[in-house]
Amino acid sequence: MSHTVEIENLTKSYKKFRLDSVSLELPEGLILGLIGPNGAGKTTTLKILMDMIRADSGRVRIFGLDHRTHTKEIKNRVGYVGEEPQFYGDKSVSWTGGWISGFYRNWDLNLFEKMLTDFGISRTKKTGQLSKGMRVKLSLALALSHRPELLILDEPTAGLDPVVRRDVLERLRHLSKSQGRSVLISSHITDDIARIADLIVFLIDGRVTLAESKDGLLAKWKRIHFQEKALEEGITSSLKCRKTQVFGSSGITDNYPSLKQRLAAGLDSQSIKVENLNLDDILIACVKGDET
Amino acid sequence: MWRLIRKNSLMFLLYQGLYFGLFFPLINRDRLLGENPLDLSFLLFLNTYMIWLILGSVWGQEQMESKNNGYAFLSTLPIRSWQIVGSKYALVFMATLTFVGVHLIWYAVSFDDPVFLAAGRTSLIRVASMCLLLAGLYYLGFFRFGYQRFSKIAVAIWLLMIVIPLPLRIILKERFGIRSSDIFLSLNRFNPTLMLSLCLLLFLGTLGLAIRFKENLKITE
Repeated sequence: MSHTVEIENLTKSYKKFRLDSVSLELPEGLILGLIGPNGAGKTTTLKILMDMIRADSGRVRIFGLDHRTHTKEIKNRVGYVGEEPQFYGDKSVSWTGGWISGFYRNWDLNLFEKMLTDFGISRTKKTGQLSKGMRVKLSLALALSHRPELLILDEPTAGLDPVVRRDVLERLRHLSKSQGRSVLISSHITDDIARIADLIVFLIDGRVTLAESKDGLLAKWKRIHFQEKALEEGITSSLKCRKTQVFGSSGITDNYPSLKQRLAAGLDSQSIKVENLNLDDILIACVKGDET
Repeated sequence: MWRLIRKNSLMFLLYQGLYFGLFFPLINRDRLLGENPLDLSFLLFLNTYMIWLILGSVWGQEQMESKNNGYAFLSTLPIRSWQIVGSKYALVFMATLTFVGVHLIWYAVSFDDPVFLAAGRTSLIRVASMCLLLAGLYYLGFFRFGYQRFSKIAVAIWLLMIVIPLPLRIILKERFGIRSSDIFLSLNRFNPTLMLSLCLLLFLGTLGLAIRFKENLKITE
């Protein structure tokens, strides 16, 4: 399978933050969700991809092209929605669309017009008068109207109401599944990522701590509730986020398939129970690590 | 690059419109009506306003980019840094040419004396040269230090450009008996073509440096 995005050992240092040897790959036609707490380096990573800021070291290839030497060609094939969509505030929506259209080879005016209608954005309104939600919608309409092969979205659903949020996510899923577009989306709203992503990358403190398919991740990460001495000592010590309560203890494993056999007896006697986790729980476990 | 020039042209058109539509006819009312002959001293004083006009446009343009976070927006589009910077410089050049062109036509219509006409032309070329150089340095400052840091210096210079010419003209004439035209005429020993060439070269030099600074901003951001 060819890769739309390949990042190798990306490093960028600031005074109080360091993006540390970030590597990831996004295969063609899939959605990769970049998850991490605020300040983890998600926006920095995406801005480096867009050649908006420059990395200290590392290599980025998009569509097999070096992202710095082929920046114009790449941006022609990429749709980008930033964390804080920016436009020229004194210009109308219609002017903005018309002006931007000239920079892209494949601009589809009909698609742009349709999305403005779907999103309920007034064409005559000045962009500076749009609410935050409307600005995000306009940014999405602009990012999608040149039919990009890759979408890079930085917290695109922040500030959107639930109805539009769901609609946007469905559109992204449709673009990926029906039209084979690749999507790289960052968010700290893990529900959004869980809804559409095929691959998950956890970025914590500037480092990739986890990179796996969503299904694989949810199959491996489980919370185990157990009564005193129901678990082997080796298993207990390997659990993350261990808690001891009145009715027993619990902890999170990141390797459930390999433990399944060893837990079978306990599961049968109900001294052990296994609970599915969501991405939020996994993120918290990754951030807290072995803290109890 | 034409699209970028089109976007940026509004501020320049506004200033040019203000100057040619209001300031120029008002200040020249008696001369345009033929009540007063056009004298070289006044004309030279008027030429310095070209600098005010161009630098004001540059400053206003950068203020707008800063207010809208325009450079961040532009960096998401398939445009290269040299096109962004180049479009700004191209517009300065075009605006200067417009100013020079309109004034040259006005001189040709107003001056009968060929000596005055030649003096008017050379002074215009000199001011245009200075204007290009200063605008280039302005952009260099904006791309090197960013709008927030450089705008204070930029505004101070710009305001001085408005305030200084008139009182300076009066002081020189009344206290020292020197006509400002004499000063300008004394500059005649500088070859205007040479001065224009040198300033154009420096203008292009600042363009090259500004492109480099714009690229370097990606490293520091």
